[in-house]
Amino acid sequence: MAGQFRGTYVSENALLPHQASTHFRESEWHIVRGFRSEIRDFKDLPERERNARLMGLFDEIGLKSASHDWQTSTTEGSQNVYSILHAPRGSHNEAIVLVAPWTNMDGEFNDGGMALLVSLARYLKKWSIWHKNLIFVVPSNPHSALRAWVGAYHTSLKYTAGSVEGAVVLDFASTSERFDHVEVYYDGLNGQLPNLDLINTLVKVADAEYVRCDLPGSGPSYHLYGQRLQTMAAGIFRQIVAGIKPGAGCEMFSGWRIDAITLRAVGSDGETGHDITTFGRLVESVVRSINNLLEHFHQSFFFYLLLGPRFFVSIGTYLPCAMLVSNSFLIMAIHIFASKRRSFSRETIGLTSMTLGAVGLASLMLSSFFVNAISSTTWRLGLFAAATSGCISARKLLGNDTKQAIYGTALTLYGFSLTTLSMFNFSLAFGLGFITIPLAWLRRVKFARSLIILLTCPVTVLGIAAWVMDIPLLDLIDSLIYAHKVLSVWTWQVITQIWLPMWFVGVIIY
Amino acid sequence: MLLVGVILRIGLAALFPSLPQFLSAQVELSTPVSSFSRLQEGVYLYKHLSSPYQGNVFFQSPLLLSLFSVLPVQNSFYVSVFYALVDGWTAYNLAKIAKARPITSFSPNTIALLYLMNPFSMLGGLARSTLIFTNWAIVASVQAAIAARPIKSVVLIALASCLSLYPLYLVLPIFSLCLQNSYRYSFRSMVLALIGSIGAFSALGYLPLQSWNFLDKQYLTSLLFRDLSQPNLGVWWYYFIEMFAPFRPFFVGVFQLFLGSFPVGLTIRFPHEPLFVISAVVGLLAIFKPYPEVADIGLFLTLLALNKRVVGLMRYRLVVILGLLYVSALAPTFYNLWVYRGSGNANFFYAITLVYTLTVALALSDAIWAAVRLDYDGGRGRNLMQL
Repeated sequence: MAGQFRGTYVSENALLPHQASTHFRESEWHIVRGFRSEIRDFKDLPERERNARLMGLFDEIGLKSASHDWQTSTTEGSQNVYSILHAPRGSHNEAIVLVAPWTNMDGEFNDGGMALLVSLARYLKKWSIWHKNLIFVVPSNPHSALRAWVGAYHTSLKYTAGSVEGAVVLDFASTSERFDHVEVYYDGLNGQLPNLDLINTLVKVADAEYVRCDLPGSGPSYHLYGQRLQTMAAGIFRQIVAGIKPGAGCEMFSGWRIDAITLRAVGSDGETGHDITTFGRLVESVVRSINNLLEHFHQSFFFYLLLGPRFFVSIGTYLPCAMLVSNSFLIMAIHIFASKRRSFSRETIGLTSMTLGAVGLASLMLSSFFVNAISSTTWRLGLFAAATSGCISARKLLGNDTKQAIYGTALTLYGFSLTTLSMFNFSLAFGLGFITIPLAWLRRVKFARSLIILLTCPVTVLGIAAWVMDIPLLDLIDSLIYAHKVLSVWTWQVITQIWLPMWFVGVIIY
Repeated sequence: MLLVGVILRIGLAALFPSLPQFLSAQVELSTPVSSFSRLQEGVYLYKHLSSPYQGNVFFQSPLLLSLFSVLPVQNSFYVSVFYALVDGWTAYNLAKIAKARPITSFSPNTIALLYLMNPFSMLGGLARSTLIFTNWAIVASVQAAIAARPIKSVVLIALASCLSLYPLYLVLPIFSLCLQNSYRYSFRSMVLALIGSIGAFSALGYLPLQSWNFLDKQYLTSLLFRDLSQPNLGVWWYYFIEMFAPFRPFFVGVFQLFLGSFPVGLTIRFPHEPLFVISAVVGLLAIFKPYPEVADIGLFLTLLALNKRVVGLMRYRLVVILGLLYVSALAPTFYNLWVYRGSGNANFFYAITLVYTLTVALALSDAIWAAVRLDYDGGRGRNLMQL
């Protein structure tokens, strides 16, 4: 809606986007082509051999390179390669990361991205202007492998180059020389977004190079209300499933205070469009802007919803709506307590809150136990069914007053859990609040209570989500747990520790 | 009841050995003048090198220094047991106070439960804030006053003041409480006892290091708000971190004058309810002293419950409870967004400290309103709207 959003602007970060002219032009074309055919030569070799060849390329350029072997708790593992360009003028305590994974988010071989990364390494080394180190990373995939590298960089890697100020992931999967436009991915785990100025920089640079820059999941006509709504909804959805559904790669930098984006080339068939060095120029210009930074990304916005590359909703505008949703639970709780005050004895309320607290604490401890001890998701679903039937039988045991007290307390706790969550991950809190809002009306409506219970059930919603995402339900739950364990994404905990208890209470009292 | 609370504390510390350390790093739970890790640092310096008061790390009482150089500070479990026992003792004293005032306060069990199970004092104890000892001394002093032992009471309030300065504001209502409960000693002799015991405790503080350095480091830091290294829940921090240095003395004066103007007024206004004045002053300190923390709130709420009729007349109890709930969830959230994730900024945390201040101030003004109301018509009026 007009008036509810603003145009983006480059804030006080000293980025100076596209103030320097870029020189990664046609003269580099044959070099890109050369590296491309070389990489194609060895891309099908076994992993260690192809990595050795790749490191050979970096060595020839004159950069120090190293490999990084990793393994996650789920016994998947492989080897990453990275290479460091030490800044000619700088104190070596800050770095910019450029990433080109072997395969992109869809599992395709990252043909152009790899070639561009190596030729950019060769090209950027010639400049003497860097005052932040440049790190070129080639992980085997943009998911767990990249995550493992980022984690290791901050904990155990042998060669490091200072704190990472910004990261750009290159995704140019086609084998063509040309592309039509770029898409920028900016998602992060647990609702962490990169500084808006990083995206602004890219959009400005793309403008100057006459490249169209889009957000994923939408078309170019951002002047239409429907189009903006669609873009925002797609952004919220990606934010909810970040880490659970394979993402573009930039989200793997979350949690280390690194602002990262993924640049993806789209529509690169045919003879028309921009040539591949234009993509290189975008990267070159963005990296030079980050190089200009005098201090870590600050000011601007870390909390925003993008409606288009140039439009955003800031936190001040969207937060009230999340607060309205989460506080509606609280208001219902106040209503229950206020209207029923006379009939509640202090003991009932005290006992209920203490029981709920104890149950919460126990579930907190048990949930990690269950995740580790029960390996099969079928069993987890079985356990869920058993707990549900337990709740249904508990309905008969409890008096009406106790039920009301439990309901009121649970609504209060649920409301303020959602409020807290919305500060971290607006999308998740808003989505969850939106789905479960009928639970606040359970005692008020006269009809369709069973339907409400069914529709707000986590398993039903996950089932629908799995159907939308076109994967089996069990796989979705597995990937939730995987994201929780390996990437420390909270969604699994939110579902089992906030949503599920509230739903159980709903089952008991309806 | 006491046993359950104490065992729960020990159990939590034993089950999650990293919990105390984690909690004591939270800015809401421990401040530069009460932090356990700073105390450990001080004890180490005292034992191995030289005076901990020469640096700018340790601002706590030399009495604590001597106490903890005898206790095994290294063994985390024993320290937890010690803290739990001190908390248990405090709760025991509170229960005794409640027993001595059967009509005007809730039952002794409820009061003990309120202190031991209330998350604020529990977190304070688990985070090993040394404010726990101050709270113990305050409660013991009130108990002694009610048990008609004025000199013991005065000595204990002097101890509390020596431990963390601000309980000095409680001296007047404590005197009033003593005089109410016993006629054995005159006002003058109690003042003499107070001066004498403060002198004695200071001399005790002089002994371990043979220097008066601690007076400067401990008291002036609390008084002039000299250590700005950590944010806290109060209104001082943000204000003073933004301020140009030349204005600091003036505003320190203004803030202290503001805080200091209340206790006398309250004591005069409620001459027959010294216990209520004590709870009100504790609540006031929880808002306006330079380094407030959640252990203050725990004590305030429990002391307030000793005035049952006041609590019964309060209008915004639910609002206060919900406000405190929100603050306890959002304060760590905003601190995390600001300091660890870097996506928020200091204003986030400042906003939530303002909410905290408003909530406690609401509770306090509501309680004072209720007390005035009691004075006026004994709370018998019919138009009482409560939330």
